[in-house]
Amino acid sequence: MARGLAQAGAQVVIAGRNPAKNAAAAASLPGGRSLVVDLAGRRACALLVERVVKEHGRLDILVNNAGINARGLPQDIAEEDWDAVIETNLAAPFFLARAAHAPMKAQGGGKIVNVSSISAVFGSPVVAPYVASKAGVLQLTRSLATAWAADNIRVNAILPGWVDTDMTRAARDRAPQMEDRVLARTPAGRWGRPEDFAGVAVFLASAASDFVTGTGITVDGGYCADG
Amino acid sequence: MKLFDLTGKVALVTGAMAASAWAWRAGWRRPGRRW
Repeated sequence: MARGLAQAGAQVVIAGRNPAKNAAAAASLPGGRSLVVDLAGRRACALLVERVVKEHGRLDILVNNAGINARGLPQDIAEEDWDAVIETNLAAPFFLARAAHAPMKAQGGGKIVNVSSISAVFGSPVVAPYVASKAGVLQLTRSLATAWAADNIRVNAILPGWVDTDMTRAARDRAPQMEDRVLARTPAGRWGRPEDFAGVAVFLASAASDFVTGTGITVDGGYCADG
Repeated sequence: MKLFDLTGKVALVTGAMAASAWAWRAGWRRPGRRW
């Protein structure tokens, strides 16, 4: 998504916890830069937006992409794992969006793209905090969209399906049957790739979606369509 | 107006995919953690 936005001309600031990974990601983007921040800190969310606006003069697009997961049956999920997932996946998008509202409104509008998941519509026995957080992100998206439409701030969500990342590879290592199960159910016949999300991110960040707000776009190779 | 042109726009993107994966792995390796 960041690469897609950069290729469309945006100046992209990447914010995450790992300095090395941040720097590598930013270096791969034309004009990209990175800031180290742990989004589990609510004050950090406000300071991050403040810093971007101060250093770049504006903030047009906010992509709430950071996410973590915690696996385990609900009865085994540790309290701190529940808190960490909800804080990073749901609270941080809210506090970042809230911080972005004033500068976006002042400059005449903006675009907020929240990364939810197809987990927002499916339950799962082993990732309850993640599923709850992603469903929350979808409802947060709808609520912010209705609240800020008059300020010309558009808020939408992307619902990724199964994507081939380090995170899902780790999950597949634990549950090898997942590989075939996902492939069998996905009409497109493959796992998603990070680059599959560039187009939808650019669409939701650009003037092409100026009358689109409060919606979620599923990007899953047809997984959800195959009932 | 160019529909998909983001020239001059400033975008803040949280959690590069790699950073998210790093968080997963870091948690996974922590003793007693089920990530």
